[in-house]
Amino acid sequence: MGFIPPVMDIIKENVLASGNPLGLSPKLFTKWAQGLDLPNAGDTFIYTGLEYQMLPYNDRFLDMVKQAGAFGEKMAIANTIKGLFGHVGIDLGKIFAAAKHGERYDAILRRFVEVLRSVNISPAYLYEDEPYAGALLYEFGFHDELAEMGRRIRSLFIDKGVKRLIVVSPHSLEMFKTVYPKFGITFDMEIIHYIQALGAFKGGNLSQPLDVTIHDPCHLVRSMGIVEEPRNLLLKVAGCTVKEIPHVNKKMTTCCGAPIESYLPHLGQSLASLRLDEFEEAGLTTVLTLCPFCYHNLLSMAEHEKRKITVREITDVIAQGIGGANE
Amino acid sequence: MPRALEARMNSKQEFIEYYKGLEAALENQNIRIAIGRSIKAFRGNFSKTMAKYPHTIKMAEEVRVIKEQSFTQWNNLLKTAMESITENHGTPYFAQTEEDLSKLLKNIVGTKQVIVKAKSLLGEEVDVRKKLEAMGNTVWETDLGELILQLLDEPPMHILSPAIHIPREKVAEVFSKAMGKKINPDITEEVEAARQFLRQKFMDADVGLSSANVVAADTGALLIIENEGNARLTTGFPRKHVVIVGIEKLVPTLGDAFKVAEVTWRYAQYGVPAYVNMITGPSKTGDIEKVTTYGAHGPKELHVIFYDGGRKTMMEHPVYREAAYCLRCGGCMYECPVYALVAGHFGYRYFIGYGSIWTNFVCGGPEKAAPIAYTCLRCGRCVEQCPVKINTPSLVSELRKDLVKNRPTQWSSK
Repeated sequence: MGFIPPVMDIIKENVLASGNPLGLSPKLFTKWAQGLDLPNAGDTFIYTGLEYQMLPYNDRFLDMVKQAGAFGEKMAIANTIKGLFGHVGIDLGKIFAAAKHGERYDAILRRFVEVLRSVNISPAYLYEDEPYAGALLYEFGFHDELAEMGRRIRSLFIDKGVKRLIVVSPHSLEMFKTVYPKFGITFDMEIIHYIQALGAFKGGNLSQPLDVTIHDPCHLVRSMGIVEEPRNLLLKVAGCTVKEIPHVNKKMTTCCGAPIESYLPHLGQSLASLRLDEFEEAGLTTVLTLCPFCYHNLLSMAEHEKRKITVREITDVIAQGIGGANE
Repeated sequence: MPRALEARMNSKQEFIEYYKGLEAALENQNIRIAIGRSIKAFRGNFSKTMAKYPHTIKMAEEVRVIKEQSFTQWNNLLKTAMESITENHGTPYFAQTEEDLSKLLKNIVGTKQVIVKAKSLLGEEVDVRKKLEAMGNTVWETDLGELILQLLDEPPMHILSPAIHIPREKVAEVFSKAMGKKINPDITEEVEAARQFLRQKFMDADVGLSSANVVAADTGALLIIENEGNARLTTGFPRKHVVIVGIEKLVPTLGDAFKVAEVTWRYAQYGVPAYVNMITGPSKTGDIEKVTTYGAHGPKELHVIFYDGGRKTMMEHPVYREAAYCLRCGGCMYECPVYALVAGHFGYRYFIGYGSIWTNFVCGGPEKAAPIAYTCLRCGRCVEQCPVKINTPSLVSELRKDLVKNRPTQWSSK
């Protein structure tokens, strides 16, 4: 029978026990919203899927998996032993201490709110009630656990009176739009990617002209069919010119390597590097992302390899255009 | 050791060995350079081809429907095809398992024979060259890429361009050694050397072994697409022509078969291939007194073995059957980001994401398929390139679900 890398079990157990893939404390996920005065009730909610908040802890987690050998086997064994004593999860203390660039990711989430408010959308936020969407369980093949999770999420959304959900990650969006319905779990509410919520964006002006290129996230363009929306938004920002990368853009975009990084790290990093090569060969230096994992992977690799490429989340440019909050 | 634990140990070892192969491939600059060049060439050729023959996109949609409909009645098509081949004075067979296939080959080919072989993916699947050699035969690969790999004793790295990862310098080295004279690292010279080397072998061979790209049940016609001309010589020169072909290649009519063939070569980047061989029976003549006599200039005997080997299970499965629609154009591989870095190391006999389904069902089973399924990014770029729109992300998701469900021991604490 086939072997499943043990790190997948660790992540699954974390999701089931702590509600998030890394087994982090729920408090960490709401820190970004401090001072924004987001209501906890309303019709329209912003949904983070906990993804941007997890990223500062991601690399350390992957290091630990790597050190545990055989795709995290020793960690899984340790988890099993801990599990026998009723405690599940990896050593959180170590991970907390290793948070990297936490502010960078929180700032992105705050900027989403700023930009939404600029088009007169004042989203509510579920704070510590906000669930993880389950994308990694689906990726890894844990379908039984997934159905249960999907039903819980649906009930929660209904209880909270969610009419419209503005999702900041393509992976979470895909879960609600196409994956859970395959399990017979449908969400009777409007669920959109944040880029779709910005249709009323009136435009803005950059102080300096800027050439940018879009790194289309695989799931956003292929599975969700969202291709032109981000381009149309940037058209409204005077001074900003979208340059296309030939062939490997839009529906032919190249993966950033994130999906397999937890168990095939070397391959994942090589893929990020390959993607940066593609931009470099096309002479493109400012890359805009629309997915937390693409952002993290490409940015980390660009910094690690000291590339002449700047990786920015797309609303960074949009917010600058409207004179909104900048990093 | 308990059996479940042993199974887990073995499959874990399999995964670790596979990943070592990937890691080594990632460090291999030759692969990166060779594949990088191939991808560039493929994309250029493909867009030119499609600009010239834009109707192919519509035809590809038709082919998808032809495949869907053929699968729902594959056993009828098999029956019809076998009747047609018999009527054409060929001899059809059906092999359900790999052992059946070996037995049939042994009976048909025998021993101490010289065999020339055209490229066959099914041949790779069942390692047919090694099988025939073990029966005491001499086998020569006649496709240039396959010949290079035979001389190197290495597995192929791409379904259409098996030696995609081998640069001309390496070819010169291998050819010089095998042919006993100095061959320079010049592609024209190398191609000529292969021609000279194989010429006499075609003449002397007792048996020609080939596969087929598609089989029309109504006529028993086998279509073989090629560019080198080696398949023509393989199927035309020896007295005996043996065909091994998977049951998924069956379509109802000759018209359907031509559509499948045209879409296959087009998505393989070719406007037109140099040759499309259509074979329906042994060579024959009626030139003397209108008496039909077999074995004029071509083979006297045509043997066609239809092979299941796990295909039936795949073809009848509501999700996995999509993988079997594959036409083997090879286009997806040029668009797979992982393939760009590690080539055929992302696979076992069959390559990349959709290939994990084939590996799982027809060769290697879940042990070999698991690491491949978990290497797939599920990014879906292959689907954009695929003529029959095989939804690899869904297929791989299904396989991972089954792998999790059927694994030997739970690692979790529950």
